[in-house]
Amino acid sequence: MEQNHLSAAEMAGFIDHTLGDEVRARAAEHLATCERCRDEVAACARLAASAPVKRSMPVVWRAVAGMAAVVMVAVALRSTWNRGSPLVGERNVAAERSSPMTSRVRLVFPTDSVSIARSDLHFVWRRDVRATGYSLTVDDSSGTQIWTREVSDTSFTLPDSARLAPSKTYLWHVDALHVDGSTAQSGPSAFRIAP
Amino acid sequence: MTFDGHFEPRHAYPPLPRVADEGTVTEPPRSLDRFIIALAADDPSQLEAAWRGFVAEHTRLLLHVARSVFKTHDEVMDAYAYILEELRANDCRRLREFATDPRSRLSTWLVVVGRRLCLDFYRRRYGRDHGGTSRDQRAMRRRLQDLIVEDVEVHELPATRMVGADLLMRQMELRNALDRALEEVGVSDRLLLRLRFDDELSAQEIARLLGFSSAFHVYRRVNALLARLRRSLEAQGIESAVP
Repeated sequence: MEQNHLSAAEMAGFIDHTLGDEVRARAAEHLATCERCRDEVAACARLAASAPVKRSMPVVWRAVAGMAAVVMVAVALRSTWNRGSPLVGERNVAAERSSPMTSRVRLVFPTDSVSIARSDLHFVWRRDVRATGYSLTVDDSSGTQIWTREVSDTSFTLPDSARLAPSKTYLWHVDALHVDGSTAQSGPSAFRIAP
Repeated sequence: MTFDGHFEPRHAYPPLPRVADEGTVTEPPRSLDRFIIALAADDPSQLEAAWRGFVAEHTRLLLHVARSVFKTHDEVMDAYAYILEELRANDCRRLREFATDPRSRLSTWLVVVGRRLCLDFYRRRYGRDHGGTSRDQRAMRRRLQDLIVEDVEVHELPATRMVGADLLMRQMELRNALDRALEEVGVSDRLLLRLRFDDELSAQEIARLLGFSSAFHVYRRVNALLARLRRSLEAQGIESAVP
């Protein structure tokens, strides 16, 4: 990396702080001496920071969620001040809200495109500490939603009424529903119904 | 349990779940996963639908990137088309590589790749690099050398000004002394100083890029570093930036 310029993946990872410590240190070492890469990382960081935000919720609900978030922060700060340590609470709330990488639901099973008998199909995922409920969705491989339901637990057995065809591949994902109206999403995971 | 059905990748496409280097787990958005699955399924209609979905999801971001390089509407749209064409090339090689080992959010990666493609498009179209700040212009702006020596009052500037070779010699001496002092600070601090004084990023931008809690922490670190460099220069017998 000392001689070669940063790859696109390394540069994006440096901006997002998602590189491992060793790789990030090597990238920093290169950037400290390479004007061209520093130019690029500065320009891309600016672009990423000013990028248009996806419209994931209707405007009204975004406004409601925003107000709810403000109230939540105020309540959190007040309770923290009462404990005599305002900065810690403030930083935790801010960090939690500003870190899309950490607010994520982890799927446990089925994953890795496993082939599984329909009768053994039982979805399991990790708990999100801020969740008040979860939305479980199953899509077919073309992305068409074939089943969805809101549940309160972190596991669920698909009812027989949800018909999944043998030898077909499906995707499932879970959205954690937070009290402030925001959601944390899992990535999708694939599984296949055994013939 | 193993995967053994028709979904077996026909072109050695990557598996879906990913772990980036050294334990940082990231997952591409759903649109990309569907896209990769469609590639693996080798079904043209499914692939076309997935591609349309991917393009629809990221068009605003890619146009944002194209506008940062090009000014006129036609140029922006041409650059946008070029980005899509290149992302689609070789069975979407770039996207598949990203999906194999995602080291960042997809949007950040698209910004970096999209901007590189725009600059490439600029070179192809105009046969030269995109005009930015030249190194000479930047050198004129450099303020680090001035900042780490003691403040100098304008009216106290030396009456006997050095000229010609003496002046060049003194400037070179200053620059060498500064380089030696910079070698004594760590890599991350050196990068911080470069970003602040060579590239003139704002403290807020630096905080975001280098992971400081706030701009205030950047200022505090910069001031501490300047004081350290100043001491190092004084130890080398340099007490003024005025040649």
